[in-house]
Amino acid sequence: MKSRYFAAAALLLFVLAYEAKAQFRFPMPEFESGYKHPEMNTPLPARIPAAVDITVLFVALAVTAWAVLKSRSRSMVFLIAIFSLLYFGFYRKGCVCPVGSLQNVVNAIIDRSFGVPIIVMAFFLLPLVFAVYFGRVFCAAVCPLGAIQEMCAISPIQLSRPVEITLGLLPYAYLGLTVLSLATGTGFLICRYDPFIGFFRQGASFNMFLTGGVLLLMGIFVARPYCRFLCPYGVLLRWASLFSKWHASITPAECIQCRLCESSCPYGAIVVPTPDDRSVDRRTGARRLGLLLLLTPVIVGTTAWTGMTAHKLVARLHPTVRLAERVAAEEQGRFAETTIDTDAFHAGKQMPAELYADANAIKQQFKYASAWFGAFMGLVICGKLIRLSVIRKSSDYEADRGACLSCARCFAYCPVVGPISQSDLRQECLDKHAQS
Amino acid sequence: MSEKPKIGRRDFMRVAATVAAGGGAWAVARRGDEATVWQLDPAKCVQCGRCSTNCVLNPSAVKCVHSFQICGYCDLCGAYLQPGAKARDTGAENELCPVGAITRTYIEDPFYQYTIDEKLCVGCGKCVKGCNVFGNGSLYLQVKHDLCVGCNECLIARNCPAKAYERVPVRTAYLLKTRDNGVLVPKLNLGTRLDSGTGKQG
Amino acid sequence: MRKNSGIGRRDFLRAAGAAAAGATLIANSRSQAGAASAAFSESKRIPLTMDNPSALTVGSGGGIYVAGENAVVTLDAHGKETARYGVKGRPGCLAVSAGGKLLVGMRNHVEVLDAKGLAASWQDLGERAYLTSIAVDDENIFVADAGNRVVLRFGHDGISRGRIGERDKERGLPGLVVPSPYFDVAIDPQGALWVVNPGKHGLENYRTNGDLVSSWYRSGMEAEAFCGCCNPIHIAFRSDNSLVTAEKGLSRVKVYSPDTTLLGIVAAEPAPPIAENKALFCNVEPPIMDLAVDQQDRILVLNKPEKAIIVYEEKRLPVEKKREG
Repeated sequence: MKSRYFAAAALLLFVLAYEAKAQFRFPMPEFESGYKHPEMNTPLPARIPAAVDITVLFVALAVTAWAVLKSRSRSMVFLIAIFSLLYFGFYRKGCVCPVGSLQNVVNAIIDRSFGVPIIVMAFFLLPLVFAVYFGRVFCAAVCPLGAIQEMCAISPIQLSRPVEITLGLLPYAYLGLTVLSLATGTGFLICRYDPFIGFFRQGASFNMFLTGGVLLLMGIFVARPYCRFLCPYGVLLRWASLFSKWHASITPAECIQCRLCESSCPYGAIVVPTPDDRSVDRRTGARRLGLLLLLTPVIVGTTAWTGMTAHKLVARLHPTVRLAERVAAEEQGRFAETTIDTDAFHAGKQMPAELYADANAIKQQFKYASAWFGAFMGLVICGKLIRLSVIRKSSDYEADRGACLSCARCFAYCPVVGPISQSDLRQECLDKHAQS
Repeated sequence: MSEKPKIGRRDFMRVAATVAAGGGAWAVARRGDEATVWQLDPAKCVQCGRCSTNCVLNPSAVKCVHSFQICGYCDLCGAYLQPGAKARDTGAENELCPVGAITRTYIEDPFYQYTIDEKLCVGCGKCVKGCNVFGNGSLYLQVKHDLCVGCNECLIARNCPAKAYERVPVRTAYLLKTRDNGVLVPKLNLGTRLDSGTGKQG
Repeated sequence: MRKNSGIGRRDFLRAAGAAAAGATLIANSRSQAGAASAAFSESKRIPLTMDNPSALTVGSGGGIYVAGENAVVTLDAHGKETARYGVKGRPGCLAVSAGGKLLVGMRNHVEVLDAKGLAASWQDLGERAYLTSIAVDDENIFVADAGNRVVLRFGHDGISRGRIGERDKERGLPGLVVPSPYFDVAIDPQGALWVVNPGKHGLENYRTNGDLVSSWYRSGMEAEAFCGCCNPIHIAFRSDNSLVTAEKGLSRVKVYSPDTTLLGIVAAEPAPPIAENKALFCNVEPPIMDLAVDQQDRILVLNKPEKAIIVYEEKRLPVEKKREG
């Protein structure tokens, strides 16, 4: 029995001694005056709990959907937009937002080790799910970037169709570049070039403030420029909204083709009824469509090839490629001075040869990524052209399912009175009776 | 009547798409994932000064912290005083800190206490440099989480030449300096060449 | 490429500088000892095969002893390995007694090695102890404990005989200021014990009973002073009683004459750019791990990043060379 205790004590002492050895600190000076040093201040971040954020997002989306589809109230949509601007914009400092969250999700697909927190995932999915059912209600009043632009859309002008269509290619390009940037490990482009976040967190570089300011000023006339011509998440919302179960409709009941709503949409999202006399006859139209379909692989191939040849230029987005170029240039004597980055590189363990090899591997990645990006853009262009060539018959004024942001401005222009309930009908009759 | 299956198919696809997206999302997102914050590893930091200029906030969310257990409490503090300072008192011309954020107080002979005033500190790292070169290395930069807004992609992290920034779990939100056998273990292999020859300082 | 041509330029500059220095020395062949006139050059480099070299000492027979991670190695005067002993850990300091016994300072105790290996392990000096230097004379072994800010005096049998340098109000000794684990002791050719007071940037001379005999301090950034929080980190004496010092922060090796004026700078690196926003890579462990002087008054510097012992020799004046013939 005694020996067991002795062994245990010895083991304990050994463990303690070992522990003590492993954690030796060179002792502080011995202070005679009884001085005690202050404790280090290490505050933890104070973040809004994820559940609160997700709930607020869900509720905001739901209330907006109700405001757009059921109560059809522009003022309500506007109020929700103000709330979103204050909460999602200024209070949460605009991060993480659904627009940026798509990067996290795509990155997680590409890089298995990258984890996505539940709140980011929720912010990515909820607007899309709502879009699949109710249309782009997120854009209407919940997105803070949209809300801040909405405040500036004071006297919007109508853009010509060709301009709108061409500019409409930009969001696809932005989305493609974002995915390319993630696939090659270049970074989060959307976050980098978010023009409005500087206002939300009251801190940004001068360039960012300038870009944001210019966009807001432009937004006075060309409403929601970022939403329509830049937002990459908008592409996904557009695709989701095309299949939406319910969607904002200009008329609460049937369209009477009164044309009063024609110039009411600041975003050019109203589909105008096709004229009876077609500008192009059916045969020519079909031939045009056939030609386009045949040309699609050619166009896509060309754009893919263009992307591939431009890959060296695009690769310079990547910091490793830029560092390798600078290190090589300094070695060849083209620069007299070193930079902090090259200093840091030379003092590290990596040899220039390794760096060049890494940069070349990244350039190879860019080759394929740029080719895919080119192909994607080719497809988008062809898709737009094909869509324009397809003869679509419409007799009513409708909201374009993909482009309509559900802002509810057009509702006030429509004179049609929606279906009224039995009790309202009875009340109306009673009122008329009382008047007469 | 004939419309019903059409709506039914679309509805089904919508529900399927939603469920698939949700399921896919769950698969992609890490289970039991905890929140992470940005932090700077002091062993990799090279005090280049970018922490103060690259943060999206102004002043930067990166501040200097002081590990009193490592500090030597020296009279001639390499972080407080400019190299070659004529006097050791608290005069602005003697101080290395460009904003005067270090406070020097006498404790007892020959020890002095140095504390950082975080309201003034801009995170430039000059005192860190001085302390690392001429002192024990008890001063170092850290991201302060009561100030940091937690950007999705930290701008300082992107531009750090030593790649010293990483995402750490909130549990260990600070990467505090520790000592190992009395000497800090350097992570970079740094060689300094001593120039002999003319007897003049190279 | 550019790096190569850089070295070529440096070599040329060294040669030109040496020639210029030589010329000035010829012109001032009778210069006073006040001016820093001695010139040094690297004469040899002994590469080391161990990990993490940490301590260096030279024996009376010319043998060189180096300690590193888990090993203590004996080299002959040409740098060839003659013996290797295993130790547990990384010794902080090393000394060799006249009888050929190796005194290895581990973190908190001393181990004695003879030709066969571990001969004795002295008492554990406590939790706070951190041994940084050992100096030996015929009767005593002085062990510098940086953790406790004291120099311990042992007999050759390992029995503790006294403590030197502690704060003592009765004797009016303020005590040693040791802010970091760099604390050196050495015995000069006259047999006097010198203890570095790193926080005060100077040296103190003690009697074996702990009485302070003399001291001198030099604080500042100038060449003849010591900068930073704790310098010099290592000292050694040459046969003419001149003092060799090694520093960290502004890494350099200097030689002082016995009257404490600067004789010359053996080796130095450029001043680090503290006040500029330039990336600074400071090896938190200084490159100079230890210092020793051999029988020919050559200065041996244990350089960790180079993983070598660099031997510096003082350049003799051409005039004297002619005399030697």
